[in-house]
Amino acid sequence: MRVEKLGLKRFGKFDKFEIRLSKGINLIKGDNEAGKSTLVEALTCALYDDPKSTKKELKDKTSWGFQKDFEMKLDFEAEGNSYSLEKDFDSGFLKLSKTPSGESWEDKKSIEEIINQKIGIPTKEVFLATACVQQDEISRLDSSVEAIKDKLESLVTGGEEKVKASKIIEHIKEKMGELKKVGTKNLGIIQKYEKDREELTYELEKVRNQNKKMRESQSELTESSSRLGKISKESEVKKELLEKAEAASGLEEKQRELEERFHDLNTRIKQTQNSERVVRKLREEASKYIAVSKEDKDKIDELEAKLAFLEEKKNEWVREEEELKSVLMASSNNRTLKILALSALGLTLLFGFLAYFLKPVLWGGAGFTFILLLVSVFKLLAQKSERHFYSQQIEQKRNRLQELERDSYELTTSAKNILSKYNLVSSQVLRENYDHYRDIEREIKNELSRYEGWLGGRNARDLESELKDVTRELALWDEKTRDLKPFILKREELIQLQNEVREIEEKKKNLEIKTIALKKELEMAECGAELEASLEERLDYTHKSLMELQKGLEIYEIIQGTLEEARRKVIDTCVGTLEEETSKLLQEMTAGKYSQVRFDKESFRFEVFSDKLKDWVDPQKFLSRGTLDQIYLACRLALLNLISEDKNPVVIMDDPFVTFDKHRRKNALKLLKSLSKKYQILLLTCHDFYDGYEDQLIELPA
Amino acid sequence: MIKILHTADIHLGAKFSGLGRSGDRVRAQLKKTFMKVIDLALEKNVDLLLVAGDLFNSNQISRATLGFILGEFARLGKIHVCLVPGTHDCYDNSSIYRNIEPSLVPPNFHLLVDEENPFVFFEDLGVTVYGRPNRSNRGGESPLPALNQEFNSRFNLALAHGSFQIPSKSQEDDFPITLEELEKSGFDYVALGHWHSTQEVCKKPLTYYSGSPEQLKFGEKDSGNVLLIELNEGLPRVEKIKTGELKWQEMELELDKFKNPSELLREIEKYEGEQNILKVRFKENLGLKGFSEPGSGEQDFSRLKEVLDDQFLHLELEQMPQPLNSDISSKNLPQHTVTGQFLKIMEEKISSANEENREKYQQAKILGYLYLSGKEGI
Repeated sequence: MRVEKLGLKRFGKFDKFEIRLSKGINLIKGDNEAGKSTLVEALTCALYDDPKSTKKELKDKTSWGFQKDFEMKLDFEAEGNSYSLEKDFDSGFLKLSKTPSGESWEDKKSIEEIINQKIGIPTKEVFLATACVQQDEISRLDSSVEAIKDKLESLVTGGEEKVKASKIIEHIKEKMGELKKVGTKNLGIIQKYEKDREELTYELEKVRNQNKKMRESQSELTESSSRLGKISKESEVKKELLEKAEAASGLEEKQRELEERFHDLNTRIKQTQNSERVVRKLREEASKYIAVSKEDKDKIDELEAKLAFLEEKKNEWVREEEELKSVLMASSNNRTLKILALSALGLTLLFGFLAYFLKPVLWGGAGFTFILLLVSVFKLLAQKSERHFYSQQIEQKRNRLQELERDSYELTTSAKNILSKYNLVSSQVLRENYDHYRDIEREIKNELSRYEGWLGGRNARDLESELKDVTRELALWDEKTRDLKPFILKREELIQLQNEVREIEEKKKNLEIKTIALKKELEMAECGAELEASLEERLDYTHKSLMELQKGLEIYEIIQGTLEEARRKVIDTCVGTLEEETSKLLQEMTAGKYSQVRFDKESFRFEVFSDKLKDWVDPQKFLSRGTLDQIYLACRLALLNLISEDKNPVVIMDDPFVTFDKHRRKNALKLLKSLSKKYQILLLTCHDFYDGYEDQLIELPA
Repeated sequence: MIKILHTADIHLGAKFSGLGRSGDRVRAQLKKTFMKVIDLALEKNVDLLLVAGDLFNSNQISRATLGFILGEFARLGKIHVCLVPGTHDCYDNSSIYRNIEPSLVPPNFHLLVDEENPFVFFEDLGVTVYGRPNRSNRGGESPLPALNQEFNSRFNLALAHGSFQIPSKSQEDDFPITLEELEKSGFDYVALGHWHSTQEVCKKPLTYYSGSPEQLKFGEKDSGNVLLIELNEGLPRVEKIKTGELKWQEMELELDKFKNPSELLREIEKYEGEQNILKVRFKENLGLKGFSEPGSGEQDFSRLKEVLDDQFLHLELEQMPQPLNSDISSKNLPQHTVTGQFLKIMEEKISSANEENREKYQQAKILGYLYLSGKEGI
C-alpha cells in the first residue's frame, strides 16, 4: 500500500490542507506546532475512524471556529489499483472508489474489509502499536499485548475467525462467574439452586417421614381395630358367662338367706312358746304367797327398827336412873363430914377461948380449925346441892321413860295393824312373803323380756305368718334356681372368671384408647401424598436445573480450556517467527551486539540474550534506554513485518530516534533506508538528523 | 334398562415428574375432572357409578382429598357408587379405605373389599355388582371375582383392576385377567381399570377399560374418557364421553428453520392453551441468536419461557443432545486457525471421552464453534 495524497478540511490546525507522498522515505520537517502530530492523527483517522462516529475525541479534532466537522480524502495505491477514500465526519458520508475498475463502496463493513486487507493491519490499536511509532512511544507495544495477540492469532488464522478467542474466553469467564457466584444477599445462580435443593430435600424428608408415620399409623389402626373387634366379642362371651355365674351365685346366697330366716323364725317361735310356759309356772308359784306391798314391808321394817331403838333407849335410861339413885344414896350418908365440921367448930371455939384468954399462941390452932370448919361447911353445902340435882335428874328420867313406853305401845299397835291387814302373825312371815313374791315377780319379768327379745318387736302371730311365707318362698326359690344351677361356680372359679373379664375389659379399654388416638392422629395429619409429590416434583426440577447448570459450567470450562489451548498453539507458531524476525533486525541494528530475543507467550514480554552476561535478561532492568528503544524498534518492525505480511502498510515515525546516540541513530537510519524499499515511510521531525536519507522532503509551513 | 357410568385410574394426588411447580395445577385439575365425572353421572341420570380402582394414586393421600371424594360421592344422592381398590390404592393394612369414619361414608357408597362376599346386591335395580380388592400393588392372581349363581339378578356386573393378558406382552404379576377367564365368567358387563387408555377388551362378556378420565402423561393415547353403558335385554350400548381437559403435547423444532425469535414464538403459540402441557425439544440449535445457551439450566430459553409461560399450564423447553456426526469438523478448517485447532482438540477429547462425558464435549465443541463463528452472541 502506498499513500499518494491526503486532503484535509477543517482538521485540527489545517482548515484546508493537502499533502502528496512518494515511495520510500518521506521526510516531513517542521518546527514544533507545525502540525506533524496532527498529520499522523489525520492519517490514522482517515484509515480507521468511522465518519458516523459521534465520539467526542473525534469531534474535538474539528478545527476551531467551524460549525461543520472535518472532511478528509485519502488516495492510495495497492496491488496496481488506485483507490480514493472519502470521509465526511459531518454528514457521515463514506465512500471508496477504485480505478480503473470504477467500482465503489459506501457501506462501512465492505470498506473496512478492503482497507484492512490492503493495509494488512486490522485495527487502529495494532496500527499504533506497530506501524505508527510516535515520539517516545517506541515501547507502546507493551500496552497493546492483547490486541497484538489477537492480530497474531488472526494473522496466523488468516482472519477466518469472526470473534477473537480472547473475547470468547472473557465472555465465558464472565458467564462462569455469574454461575459460580456466591453471595449472602444476592445469591449466585448455582448457589440459589443448591440452596433451594437443600431446603426442598429437607422438607421432602420431613414429609416423607410424616407420610411413613401416617402409613404405619394406618396399618396400626387396621390391626388394632381388628383386635378390638375380636376382643370385644370375647369380652361379650365372658361377660355373659360371668353375669350368669354371678346371678347363680346370687341365687344361692339368697336361698341360704331364706333358709337362715326360716331357721331363725323357727327358733324364735320355740323360744317364745317356752317363755310362755315358764311365766305360767312362775305365776302359779307366785300365787302361793301373799303379795305384800313394798310400802307395808318397808313400814314394818321401819316400825321394828324404831321399836328396837326405843327399847335400847329405855334400857339405857333405866341403867342411868339406877346409877343416879346410887349416887344420890351415897351422898346422903356422909356423917364424917358433919362430925368433922362439929369437931372443927368445937376446936375453934376451944382454941379461940384458950388463946383469948390463956395463951395468944393458940390463935393459930384456932385459925386452922376455923379453916377446917369453913371447908367442912362448904363441903356439906356442896353435897346438899348435888343431891338435889340428882333427885331432879331421876325425876326427869322417870318422866321420859314413861313417854317412851307410850311411844312403844303406839308403834307396836301400828305394826299389829299392818300384820292384821295381811292376816299374818309376825313381821318375819310378812318379810318372807314379801321376799318370795318379789323374787318370782323378778323372774317373770326377766322371762317376759326374753320373750320380747325373741319376738323382736313383732307378735307371735306375725312370726307364725312370716315363717309360713319363708317356707313358701323357699319352695318357690328352689324351683326357680334350677336353670341357673349349671352356672354355679366355685368361689375361686368365679374369682378367676371375674379376673379374666377384668383383664379383657382392661385390654379392650386400652385398645379403644389406642384406636381413638390413632384415628385422631390420622385425622390431624396435615401431610399426604400430594405434598410429597409436589415437593418431589419441585426437587426433581431443581435438581435437573442444577445438573444442567453444572453441566453448563463444565461445558464452559471445557470451552475455555480448549480455546486457550488452541489459541496458545496458534500463537506459538507465530511467536517463533516473531523471535526470528526480531533477532535478525536487532542484530542488524546493534551491529551484532544483541542477536537473540525471546517472547513470553502469555505476556508478550521479551527477553534478550546478553553475550556479556551469558544469560537471558529483562531489557527493562538491565539495558540503557537507547538499547531498550533499539530492541523495541526491532520488535515493532518485526511485528509489523509479520502482521502486515506482504501488505506493506505505510509506516509513520514521529521523531523516533531522539533517545539514540549518533552511532545508534546511524544504524537505525541505515535499517530504515533498507526497509523503505518495502514500506512507504513517513518520517516526521524537527531535527536535521535524517537529512539525506529521504526520497522526498516535505517542509511544513511554520 | 340400567345405566352405568364406568371410570377408573383417576390417580388423585399423583406425582408428575418433570413438571416442577406445575404439578400442583395438574393435581388440582384431576379433582376438577373428577367433579366433572360426578356431574356427568347426575346429568345422565345413571343408576350406578363404577370405579375400577386407582381412584387415589397412593394410600397416603391427605384426609382433605379423601373428604373431597366422599363429599363428591354424597353429591350423587341415590346413585350407587361401587368401588374396588386398585394397585396404587391397594387394600393393604395401610389402605386409605380402611378405618374411614363411618359417619363420613355416604350411604350410596359401596366399597367392594369383602373377600368372602365379594358382591353387593341392589334389589331396586335387580343388579349385583361383584368386585375384589387388590391387596398389594403387585400380584399374580386374577382380580376378577367369581359369579355367584344363587343370586337372581337381572344383571351381573364385575369390577376389576388388573392387566388383560396379551401373550408375550403382559406381565404375570400385574393382576392378570385372561380372555378365557372372562368368557367363562358369566357377567353381563366387566368394568376394568389399570390401563389408562379407553379400550374394548371383549364382546362377550362386554368388557372395557374406561381409561383415565384425565390424561396423566405424554403419549397416553385415547385417555381422558369415561364410559356410559346402557344394559338392557337387547344389545348393550357403550358411549365414550370425553372428560379430560389437559392436553399433553410434545414436539420437536429445528431452530435453524426460524429466521428470528418472533417466528419461533409464533410457532409455539400455535399450541397455547390454559390446559396445555407442552414439551418442545429443540434440534440443531445453530444460528438463532438470543434464545438459547445450551447447558445453562433455567436460563435455557429463559426469555422464550418468560414470554410464553402464562399461555400454558406447563411449558417445557428442552435442548436435544447435539448429533455427534455434525458438519462441524476440523477437517473443513485449516489447522493454523484457532477454530481449526479448537475443533481438532475437541474432537480428540470427544473420541477419548467416556459415554458420560462425550455429550458434554460434543456440546462444548458446538457451542465453542458457534462462539468462534459469531453465531452465538457474546
